[in-house]
Amino acid sequence: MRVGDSLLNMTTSEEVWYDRGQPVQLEFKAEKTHLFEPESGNRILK
Amino acid sequence: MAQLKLKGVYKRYDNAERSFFRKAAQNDFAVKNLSFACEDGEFVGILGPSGCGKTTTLRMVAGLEEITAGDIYIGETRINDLLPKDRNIGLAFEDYALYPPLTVYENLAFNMRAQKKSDAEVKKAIDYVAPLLKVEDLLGMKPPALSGGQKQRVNIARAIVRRPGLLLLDEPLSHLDGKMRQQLRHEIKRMHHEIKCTTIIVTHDQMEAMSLADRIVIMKDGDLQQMGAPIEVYDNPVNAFVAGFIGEPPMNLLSSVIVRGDGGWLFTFPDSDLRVEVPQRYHDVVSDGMRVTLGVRPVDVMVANIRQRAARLLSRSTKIWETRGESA
Amino acid sequence: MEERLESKEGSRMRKTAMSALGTFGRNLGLTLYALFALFPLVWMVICSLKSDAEMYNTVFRFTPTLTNYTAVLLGTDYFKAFFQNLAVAGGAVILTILAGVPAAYALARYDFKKKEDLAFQILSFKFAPEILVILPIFIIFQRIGLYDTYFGLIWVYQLITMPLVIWVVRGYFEEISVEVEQAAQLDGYKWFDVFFNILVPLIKPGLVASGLLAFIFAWNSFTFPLVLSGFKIQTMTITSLRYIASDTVHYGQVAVASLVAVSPEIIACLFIQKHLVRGLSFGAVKG
Repeated sequence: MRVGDSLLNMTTSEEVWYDRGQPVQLEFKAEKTHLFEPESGNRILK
Repeated sequence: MAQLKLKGVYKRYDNAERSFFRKAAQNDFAVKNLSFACEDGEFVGILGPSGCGKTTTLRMVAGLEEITAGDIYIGETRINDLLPKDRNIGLAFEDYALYPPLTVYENLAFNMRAQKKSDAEVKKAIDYVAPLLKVEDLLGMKPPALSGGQKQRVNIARAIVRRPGLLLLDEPLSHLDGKMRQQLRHEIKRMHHEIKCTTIIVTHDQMEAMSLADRIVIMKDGDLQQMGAPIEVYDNPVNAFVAGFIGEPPMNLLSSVIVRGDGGWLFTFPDSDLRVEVPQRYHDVVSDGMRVTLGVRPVDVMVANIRQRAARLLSRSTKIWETRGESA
Repeated sequence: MEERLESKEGSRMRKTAMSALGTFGRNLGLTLYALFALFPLVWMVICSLKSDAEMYNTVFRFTPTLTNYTAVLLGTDYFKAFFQNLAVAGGAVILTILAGVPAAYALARYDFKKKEDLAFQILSFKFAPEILVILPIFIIFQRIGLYDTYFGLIWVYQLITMPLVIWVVRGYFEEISVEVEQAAQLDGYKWFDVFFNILVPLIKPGLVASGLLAFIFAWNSFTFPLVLSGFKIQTMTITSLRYIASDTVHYGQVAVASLVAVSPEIIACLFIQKHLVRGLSFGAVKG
C-alpha cells in the first residue's frame, strides 16, 4: 500500500483478493493509532 | 532470591580498556544514566539492537565490567565493589564458555568445588538441576562433544546449580536454530517457573523477550527507552523507536501534517491525497499545520469496503479514503 | 538388458582394478619416498660399522666392526657431551616455557600499545642469522663471565626456542574464549587456579609440540656452542668435530657420534609424532 512516498503495510484476511492498483477504502482502529513528534520521536499524549 | 536495582548507572570504555572492536565507541558512553529495578522473582528482558549497551549492563551487574558511575544494588547491598564471586549471581554466557577439559558433571560442580562443598552436596545439587535442563544424559561427556543446544543447556544449568539470587542470561538462544530455539525457550520459562529466581535475559530478539519476560527494558544507544510489561510496550510505546522496534511486522510510521478540514482535524500525507480523521482523543493537542509521525500497526489497518466488517468497526474506527491508492 | 549388465560388470571390474592400482601406486610412491628419506640414516649406520680402510668403497659388502663404537663411546668423553647437551637444550626449553607461556598469555589477552610490534620483534629474533650476532655476544659473554657456562648457553638458546613457543602458544590462548576465564572467575576461582585447571590442559598440545620442536632446534644448535663454549661445556654437535683429525677424518667415528646424537630426536618423534602434527595445526581447543 503506497501513501505518498512511504509504503503502508497492512494485513488482509485471506479470502479477499485485490487487484494491483485498485483503490481501496481504509480505516485505522482509532484507539490503536499513535502520534509521535517528528524530531524527538516522543509520543504525544498517551 | 533478590531484588536488583540500578541507579544512574554509566559506563564508558576509556582508552586503556579499549579493544579492537570497541574503538568506535571510545569517547562515548556505552550506558547512560540507566536506572531500573527488578522485583524479587521477576523475569526481566533487556531488549535492544546490537550495540545498545544491553550486554554491557549485564556484565556490570555480573562484575565483569567496572561501573563508571552510579550504583547497583542486589537487595539492600551495594555491589559495585564486590567481586563477581561474592555477588551471588549465575551468568550464562553467550558463547557457552564451558570448561572443555572437564566433564559436564565437573563443569556443573566447578563452582561448588571452589566452595569446598562435600561430594554429597554437589551430587544433590546436580541431581536437582540436571533434569530441569535435560542434561542428565550428558553428565559424563566433555563439552567439545556436545551440540550447540546441549552446550547452552549445560551453560544455563551451570549458572543455576549454585542457586544464585540473580540469574543472568546473555543471548542464550542466539546461536541456536529455529526449532531448538523454541524448545529451549519453553524450557527456560519452565525452569524459571520452577526455581523462581530473579532472572535477567539479554536479547536482541523481541519474540524471545516478549514471550519470556514479565517486563521488558528497551535500550538504544545506551539509553533506557521504556520499561514495562510486553503488552504495555506493544500497546503504548513511549516513542517512535520503541513503536518501530516492537512488533512484527513493524508498525507503520508515516510523516503527516495535520490540517483543519471541513468535518474536523485530518491527517494529510506529503504527495498523497490520503486523508485520515484525527481521533477524538488527540483533538486537544493538535493544531493546524502541525507535523507529526503517525504510527499504526499493520493489523490495525482495515479495508473498509468489505461491508459487514466496516459496519461492525465503524463506530470505533477512523475512516480514510484513499482516492488514488494502490493496493499492496 | 544382458548387454547393460555386462557393461555394468565391466565398469565395476575396471573400477576395482583402478582402485587396486591406485592403492598399489600410492604404496609404491610412499615406499620410494621412505627409501629416499631413510637412506641417509641407513648410510650412516653402515658407515658406523665400517673400518676406516673400507670407508671409501661403496659396495655394501664389508666386514662389520664395532671398533668405531668402542672408540667413541668408551675412548672419549662422548657421554659427558651427551648429557651436557641434554642439560643445555633441556634447560633452554624449561626456561622458555617458564617465561614464554606467561608472555604468550599477555600477548593474547591484554591490550597495550605497540603489542603487535612487540610480538613481531620477538618473532624477528629468528630471522637474523646466528653468525651475525655471535661476535658481539661472544665479547659480551667474555666480559660478564657467561662464556663457557651452562647458563650462558641456555640464555642464548632463548633466541632459538622462545619465539617459536610464544607464537604457537599465543595462538592457542587466543582460541580460548575470554568468557571461559570469566566464568571461572564467577565460580570463585583465582586466576592461578583457572590457569592451571582450565587453560593449561587446553594449550597442552601446542605447548608439547612447540616445546619439542624448540628442544630439537636447541639440541641441534651448532654455531652458538661452537663459539660460546668449548672447554668446560661441550655439546655433541661440537664434539663430533673432534673426530676430524688434522691428518685424517675418522668418518666411522663421526657416524657413530651422529647416530648417538640423533637418537633422542628419533625416539621422541616416534612417540609424539601424532601430537606434533595436531599441536602445530591447532584445532580441538574450542569448548
